[in-house]
Amino acid sequence: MALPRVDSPITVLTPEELLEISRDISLNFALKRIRPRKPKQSSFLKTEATLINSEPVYSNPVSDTTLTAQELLEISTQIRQEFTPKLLVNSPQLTLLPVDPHHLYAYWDVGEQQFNNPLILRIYWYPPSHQNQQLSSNIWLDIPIEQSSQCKQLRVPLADSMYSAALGEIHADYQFNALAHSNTIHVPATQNKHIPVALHLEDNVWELAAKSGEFEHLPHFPVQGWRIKLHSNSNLSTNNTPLTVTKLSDFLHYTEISAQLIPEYATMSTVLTPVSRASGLGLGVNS
Amino acid sequence: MSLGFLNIVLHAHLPYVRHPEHARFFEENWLFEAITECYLPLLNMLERLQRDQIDFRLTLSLSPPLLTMLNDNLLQQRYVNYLASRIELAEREVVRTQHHPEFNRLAKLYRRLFRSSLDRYTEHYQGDLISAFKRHHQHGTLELITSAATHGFLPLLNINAAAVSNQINVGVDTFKQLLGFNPTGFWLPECGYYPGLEILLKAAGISYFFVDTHSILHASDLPQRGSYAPLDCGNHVMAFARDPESSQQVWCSKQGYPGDFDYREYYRDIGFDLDLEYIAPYLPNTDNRCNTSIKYYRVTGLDSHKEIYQPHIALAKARKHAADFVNKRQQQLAQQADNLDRPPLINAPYDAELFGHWWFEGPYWLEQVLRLTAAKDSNLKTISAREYLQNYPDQQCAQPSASTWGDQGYSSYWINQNNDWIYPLLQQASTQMETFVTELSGLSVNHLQERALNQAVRSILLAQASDWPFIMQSGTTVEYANKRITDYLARFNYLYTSVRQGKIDERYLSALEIMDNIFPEINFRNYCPGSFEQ
Repeated sequence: MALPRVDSPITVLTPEELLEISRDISLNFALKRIRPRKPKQSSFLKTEATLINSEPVYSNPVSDTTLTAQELLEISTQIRQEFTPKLLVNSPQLTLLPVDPHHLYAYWDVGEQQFNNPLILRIYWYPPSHQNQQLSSNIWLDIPIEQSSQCKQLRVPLADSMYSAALGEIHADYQFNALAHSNTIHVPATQNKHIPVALHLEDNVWELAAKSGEFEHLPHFPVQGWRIKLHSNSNLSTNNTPLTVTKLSDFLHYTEISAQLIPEYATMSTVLTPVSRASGLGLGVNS
Repeated sequence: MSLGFLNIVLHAHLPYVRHPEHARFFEENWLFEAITECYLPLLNMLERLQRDQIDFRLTLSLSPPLLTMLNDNLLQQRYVNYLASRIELAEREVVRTQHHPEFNRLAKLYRRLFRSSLDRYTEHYQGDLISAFKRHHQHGTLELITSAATHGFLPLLNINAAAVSNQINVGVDTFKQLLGFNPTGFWLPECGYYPGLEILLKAAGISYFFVDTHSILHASDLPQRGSYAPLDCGNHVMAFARDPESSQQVWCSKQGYPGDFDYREYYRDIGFDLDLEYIAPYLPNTDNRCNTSIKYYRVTGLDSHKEIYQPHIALAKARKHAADFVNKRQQQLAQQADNLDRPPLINAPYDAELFGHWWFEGPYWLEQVLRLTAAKDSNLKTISAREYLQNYPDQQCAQPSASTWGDQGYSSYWINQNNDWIYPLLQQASTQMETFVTELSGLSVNHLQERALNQAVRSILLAQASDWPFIMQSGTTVEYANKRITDYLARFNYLYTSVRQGKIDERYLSALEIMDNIFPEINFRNYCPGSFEQ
């Protein structure tokens, strides 16, 4: 019997090819043991169990397939063994999850790739006044990580704030080369959220900042337990007014100064190996 | 004129513990014990209150996995078998204790309890507890609300927007299918809230939910009425705060009522006390001892010495505790009434399983509370959140803060070194499903593919249950929790790979449909809202 002509200007198949495709479809897409489709069930799907030779046999009402409890167990075991969940990494990945007002969880995976330089998690803080601006934050903290550990709980300085992160290498010239960027998260508020935190920065802090592109002193950030290291290439005016977090973040934003937040050593319950140019104190603590 | 309102909320939930692949399975006993000790006693209480024409309101959240299991005929049959086994054990106990009158009285009490449970379950309710609860809803005394599809912990699923919306929408749909009406209230699993969740709740037709106290106290604006009134999240979805004092009096392990020395001791069970050979026929697994629900001792004190349980003394104490609870709420409301522009509202949410299962006398205590508050001179009126909002529709607008009712008040119980490994895997599965469903937009699939895709969504939802990370952290049945989440994710992987490769084995698919027969009406096309809108 002659096959109908295929009216396609592109695909022309021989009878042998059609037969092969037909067999392939039969093999892979056959409705094995399927009966004609039953009307859609409006009531609860009920699994019927009957006893055959003292063994319960279950029927699937949408397909009429019956399976013994032993068969169910075998299929369950086989699927567990052959399809054990594992992460598929095509490119470096980084995800943040909020834990509480002062902690977040970071997950990363860079696959099997090896790096010559230390890996760093750079956590960016988005001050409240900048949260709606689609700009990368210029206030961050650096946390050294081990490639193999793949997740870490981190302490962050401010509650009720947004954070994102980048995973990258720190090169010998202090350049940060980002391999992956995370989602942005919000950590919850605490009872202190309505209380402004103020701290007076001495005039010479700003004078020094103005004179030096790389600020070596570490004045206190207006949150207990944190210091701030400024990175500036622009001229700064002096400032002798009490500083709130909001004022500081606005100041840094508009003067285009980058600020690196560093946890104070005394607040750490766990001290990790410092990494050059990073904050030096990984925040993998549960406090 | 009442001083204010009391909104008692019970959240009833158990993880999906259904194992047709085994003849008997330990974790299924969680359901059977909860039915016997909690759900049936609550129904009995509701009927007594109705019979006595007591004017009260009570809110009950029925989680979708619990509704599904209560409606499942395999579990219904197994529950009847379980009760038959308990009756047999209690009868043996009556014989064994015949020369020890105090123990013998208790053995007879348990025999009565199991016999009565069997009678109520099979004859009175015909195995249909959902309809029994619904009748009280229709009577106007019981407010029924829903929860997330598999009790997913929403703040940590939020990395995938579709994951959260599916938990909410499937939860609401399951409630509608099994109860026949739209829920207006939603129990956030573990009271886990994050700003923005109210948008998805609103889209699902939800008007209110519950949060822990600090969520309201740390809101975007100072709450003018403290935790004594809800906050409008800005879209007319209301957040009601848990009252810390009511919570402390019932929940606290040291100061709370359930720890009273006269109450029954939960942790002394004949499953652990008697010879294994004697008790083995009544255990799901003869290798491991477990609770049998027959317990002869009272809390007695803080050390391991326990004295025999005296039910009449325990019930007298429950009456005393009920009066104390109501009295303290009256004082609390009296203190607040002058400060507020409307009658203060106290929200008292608890896990339903506390009542009867953990705290044996709990249902009796609750009944006394409801009777006392209904008395003419109580100055206190029970109310549901829905009813409250009908009376006071306008509330202060503010954004509650992210929070949970767990340890420390945030998410640390559900993400820590004992359970953190699950989240990247859950995220990956959800992302794969989202991507696949989006790719299939506008394309038709055959019946087998449709079944496989629907089953894949069931597997993801079951993997997302908050119970698994909770158990991993609590250290109770960790092996089971690990196996459950691994199984569900493996099943998802299998189904996803099968459909992607066009190699669906109907027998295997059927096996998964039989084992995980939750959400029969689920439609994979709804996984990504908007992807199939045509």
